[in-house]
Amino acid sequence: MTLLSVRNLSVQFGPLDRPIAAVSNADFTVERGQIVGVVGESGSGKSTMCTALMRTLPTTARISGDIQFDGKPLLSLSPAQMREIRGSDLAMILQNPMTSLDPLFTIGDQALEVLRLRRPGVKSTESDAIDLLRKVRIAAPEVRVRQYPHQMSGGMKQRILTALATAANPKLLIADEPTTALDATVQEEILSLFWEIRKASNAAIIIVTHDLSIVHRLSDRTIVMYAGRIVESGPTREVFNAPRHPYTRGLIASMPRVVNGLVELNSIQGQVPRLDQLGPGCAFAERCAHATDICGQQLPALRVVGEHHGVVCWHEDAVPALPHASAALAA
Amino acid sequence: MSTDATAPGWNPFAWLRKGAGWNTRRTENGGLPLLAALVCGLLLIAAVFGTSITPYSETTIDFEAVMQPPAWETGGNWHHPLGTDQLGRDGLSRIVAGAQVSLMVAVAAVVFGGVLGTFVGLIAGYVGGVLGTVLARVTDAFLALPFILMALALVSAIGPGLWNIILVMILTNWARYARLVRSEVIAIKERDFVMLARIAGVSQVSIALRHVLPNAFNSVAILAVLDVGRAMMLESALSFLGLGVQPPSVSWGVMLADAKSFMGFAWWLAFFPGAAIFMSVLSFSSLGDWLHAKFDPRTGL
Repeated sequence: MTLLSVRNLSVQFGPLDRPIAAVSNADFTVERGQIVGVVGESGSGKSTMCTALMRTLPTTARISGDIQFDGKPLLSLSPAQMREIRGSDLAMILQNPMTSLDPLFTIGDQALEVLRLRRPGVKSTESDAIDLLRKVRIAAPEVRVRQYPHQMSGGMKQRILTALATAANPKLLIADEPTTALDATVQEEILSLFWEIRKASNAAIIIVTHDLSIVHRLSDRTIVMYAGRIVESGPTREVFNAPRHPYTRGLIASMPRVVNGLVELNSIQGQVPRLDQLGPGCAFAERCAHATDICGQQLPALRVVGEHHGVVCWHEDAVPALPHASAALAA
Repeated sequence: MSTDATAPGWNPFAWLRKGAGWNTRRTENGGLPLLAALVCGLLLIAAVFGTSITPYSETTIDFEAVMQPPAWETGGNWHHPLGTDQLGRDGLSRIVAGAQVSLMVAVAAVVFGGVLGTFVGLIAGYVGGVLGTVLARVTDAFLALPFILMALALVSAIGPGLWNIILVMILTNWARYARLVRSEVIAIKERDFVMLARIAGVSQVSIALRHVLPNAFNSVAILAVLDVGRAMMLESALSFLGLGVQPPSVSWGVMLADAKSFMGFAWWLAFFPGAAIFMSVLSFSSLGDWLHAKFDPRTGL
């Protein structure tokens, strides 16, 4: 059952006559209980797209399109209605757990603020806060509730933030690079926490990241963004095993892998174009080995290449299979 | 170990650097500036108890003891340790009474001005937009007006007196807080925890009061302590010019103004209130500096 359906979502900044399109014509859906990974380089519009879903973009942003969430048109709700959905049905975790908690209040205070907000009329006490921490497996929660954010590690804070975000069993949790600021062992904890949350409450999760291995392991669907556009989206297994967009292919090929005992590192030539200097055609054309004249002149249309698998490329049929992709990911 | 005394790093004046004295500069390891704290403490005692702890009232006139020098000078005695003025009023009692007025005016000006300025700054910084810009420009306008000129104009309009001078000082003081708080708030509201509070559905008013304001409070507290000294000086200046408290009420500025005519032969009349102003201002500003060094995470790194 479709929980979130985004149609033709665009976000623009800057002057009206020369707008900068941070997100252009994004189309995607998220089913209940589905984990969706959004990947792309910095500046590809991943975070902007998610912030647009929360409607917490700065007021200078111009958003157009249609977002249907749980049967409600998010973009036409009043701020008060939106506030009601935020936090309860629609929750979010940010990239940096270090700065995401108010340094002046104890963990318990901040947990209680969230609990009181979620359950007006119910008297929330410290033991409710402790229960909340216990759910995300914080050791010694009765000690931790009385501590301040600076007394905790990054991983612990991110778990606490996850607990706060999911206190009301949201239908959709957006995690904007939830593990980027954490070290590898802590990443594991956070990711398995997401897995548990999905299992416990059938929440859908959108994970924004530039770590392909996270998407590969965790998500059901993968969305690849480039220069503000979704260039490929499909079931994770299909996208990774048989990427159809040259950019997706380049991304997967650039994952480090071990060949004959040596680590091999490929990269995509060139740089991401500046958003204010995009031509009329495909933004990836300059860096693409398959590019022809039409790529620079005209935007490719969406081509459906499999069940729920779409690619925006003129030459998707010319992209050869990737022999070592699955091998690399297995390693 | 006599060699230790000459070893590099040994400094016979280290106690000064550690903040035993006034320590007006932020030092890397500055402790509480004791002398400054002591002066502020004495001031506070004087202000709280006033002339109830002195043997004379500040208005007691004694024509048998006119123009007595301080006790240690020839002609002085310990009935009047800091001498008497042209009406035989006790110098020490007047200093204590003056402390009460000076500190009360200064604290009232700082507290009310601080609260007013903080809320203007909070609204200007948090709401932003047209309202924020208008408030910020009004703040700048107030900061641009010369204080004495503004005080002169206001006092001539509403008349001198204790409460009027407090009002004048609030009106001339709030803008400093407004500008500080506005800049702090603009920085704080971009921080992740504010964003998350919005995402969690906390109302704007409650975010501003619960999360943004408390995080700006440190700077306000530091400015307020620094400002008490400044406000005392301004009060003295206004009283000296005759715009402040009126005789028979006494403040240090009034005492200085009175002493003007007798400066040539009765130095103590001007010296003690002047020293009181000097020490108070210095003490409050070094205490403020110390607080700043201690609680501002950006210094001391």
